[in-house]
Amino acid sequence: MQIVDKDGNIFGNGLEVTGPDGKPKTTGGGGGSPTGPAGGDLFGTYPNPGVVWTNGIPTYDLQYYPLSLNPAGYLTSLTALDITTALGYTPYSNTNPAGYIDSSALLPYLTAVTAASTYYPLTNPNAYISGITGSMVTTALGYTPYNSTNPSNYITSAALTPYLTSASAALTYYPLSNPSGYINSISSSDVITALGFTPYNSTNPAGYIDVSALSPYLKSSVAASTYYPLTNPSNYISDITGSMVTTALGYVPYDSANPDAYITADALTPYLTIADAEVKYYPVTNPSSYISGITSADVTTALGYIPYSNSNPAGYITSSALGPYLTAATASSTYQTILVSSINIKTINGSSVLGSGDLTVSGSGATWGGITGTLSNQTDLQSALNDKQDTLVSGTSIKTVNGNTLLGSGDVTINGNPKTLTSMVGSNLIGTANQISASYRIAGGTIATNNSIYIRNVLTKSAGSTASTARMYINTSNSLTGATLLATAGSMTGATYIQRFERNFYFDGTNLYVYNPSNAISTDLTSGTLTSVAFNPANDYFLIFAVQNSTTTPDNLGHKRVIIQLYD
Amino acid sequence: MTNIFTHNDIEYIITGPIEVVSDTQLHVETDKGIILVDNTMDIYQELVSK
Repeated sequence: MQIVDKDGNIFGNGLEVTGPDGKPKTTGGGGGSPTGPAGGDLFGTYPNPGVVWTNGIPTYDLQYYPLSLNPAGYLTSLTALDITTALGYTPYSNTNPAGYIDSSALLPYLTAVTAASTYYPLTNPNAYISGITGSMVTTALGYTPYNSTNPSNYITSAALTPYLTSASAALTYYPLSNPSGYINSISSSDVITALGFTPYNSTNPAGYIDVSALSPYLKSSVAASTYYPLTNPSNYISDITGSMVTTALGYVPYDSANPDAYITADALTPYLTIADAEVKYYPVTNPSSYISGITSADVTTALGYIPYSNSNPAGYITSSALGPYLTAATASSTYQTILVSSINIKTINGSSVLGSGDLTVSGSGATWGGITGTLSNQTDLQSALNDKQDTLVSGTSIKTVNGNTLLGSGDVTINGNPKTLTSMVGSNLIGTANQISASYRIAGGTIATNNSIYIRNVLTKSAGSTASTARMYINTSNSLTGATLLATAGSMTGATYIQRFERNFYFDGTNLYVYNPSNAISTDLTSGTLTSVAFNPANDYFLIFAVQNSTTTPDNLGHKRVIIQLYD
Repeated sequence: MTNIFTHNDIEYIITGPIEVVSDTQLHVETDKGIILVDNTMDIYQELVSK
């Protein structure tokens, strides 16, 4: 169904109209387009009835403008007020641009609400100012401002101390308005004292420069009679005589008009003329002629002796030629000076021993084998003879050594094995540290291949009952650091203990063969593991004998006696 | 653990057990014998911690 208004305008299509029973006003029982007469708000017949515009709503045509007929009328019924009301603001009018303010232009401005919440209103300045306290001002200023009701607090008397009051200034200084008065109070003595001298007085120049002050000076008249004026040097020079110049110089100066007079003949006396020189001296341009003119006699005369001639060595005495000869010093130390009796040779019983013949010296007269009397009566001689050694008889009055007689000349060789390298006493030590009780340095070169070392050691412990241990080490320094263990003694647990601690080491040329070093046992009399310890016989080594106790005190252990022997 | 150490330019190879001798000393079995290692030697700290 569709609707057609009074003017024939058609609206809608497919509309369905129902009756009071709710059923559509259509024919055909619910399908297809209705037919028949229309009623109610409709008139005419279906399927195209018309609308009765006055039924119920008699002002349809008064409520709405038909769109197809009067669009312009619709528009023309709108007023400016309608538009302003609809917009909510007065739109921009191109005839009133001055009245238009857009949103961007309003940015710098505050709304009334914003201004009210940001600023104090000008209508109440007092309230704003009254909210500021004195401390707020002082804090803001950073100082206490001047208070016109209390100037003395601001400017204190202490602050005024460096200042002068008007009264003080008037008493202390001359006012700038009266400089003449200041000057007038200064006396001449003040000026002289201040200056340190009497100033020039223009009314009395003579008084300033007095005669005494002029005494060192010359008057013009005196100067004129004493000195040549600088304006006339010629007169000064012309008054100077030759003798004055000579005296002033100390010699006669050269006269360019008379050179001969300057060099006098007397002055030339030491000199040769060229002619004389030519007859007396060879010119340096002819050295050969000079040399050839010299004779051997000239040379000998010039030297004062005949020089050595390699063609006449016999005439010259060389140092070798002097060989057989003695110098005076050699002769005095080689030969006896001539003897003079009682001067450089003694006399005997007053008799000179110089000369030929025999000198008889008298005494007792007795001769060997001719002494008579009983020897026992010669007590001093008997005592001396008693102290003398009887004739030695080998094996009887003098022992033999290993069957070898010691009598006679020569040397007796004693078999050296074993050679005792040392017999030393070690220290008994307390403490739990493994420390050195004794040590011995084996010098390089002492041990040779196939040598053996025999160490006999007596350990003693004089206190304590805990275990104490002795060890032997070898090292290249007298220190346990890096030392090699050679032997360990049996543990000693009681006080007053003794142990024979012995080891034998064999050197095969490279290594020391030692009994198992870690086996704690007194001697190596039993068989056991062999340990090789590197050994360089050229180096120095230290055999170190160490002790260690289990407690700090009183246990003490020491290598009491250490004997080191070498078998080669 | 390092089994080689050097002392006085001599190289030692640890071949056996380590015995604590005292608070500062060890006996270390090496290819060159039983060596006393004390706390002045660099290898001491490493050995004593094992």
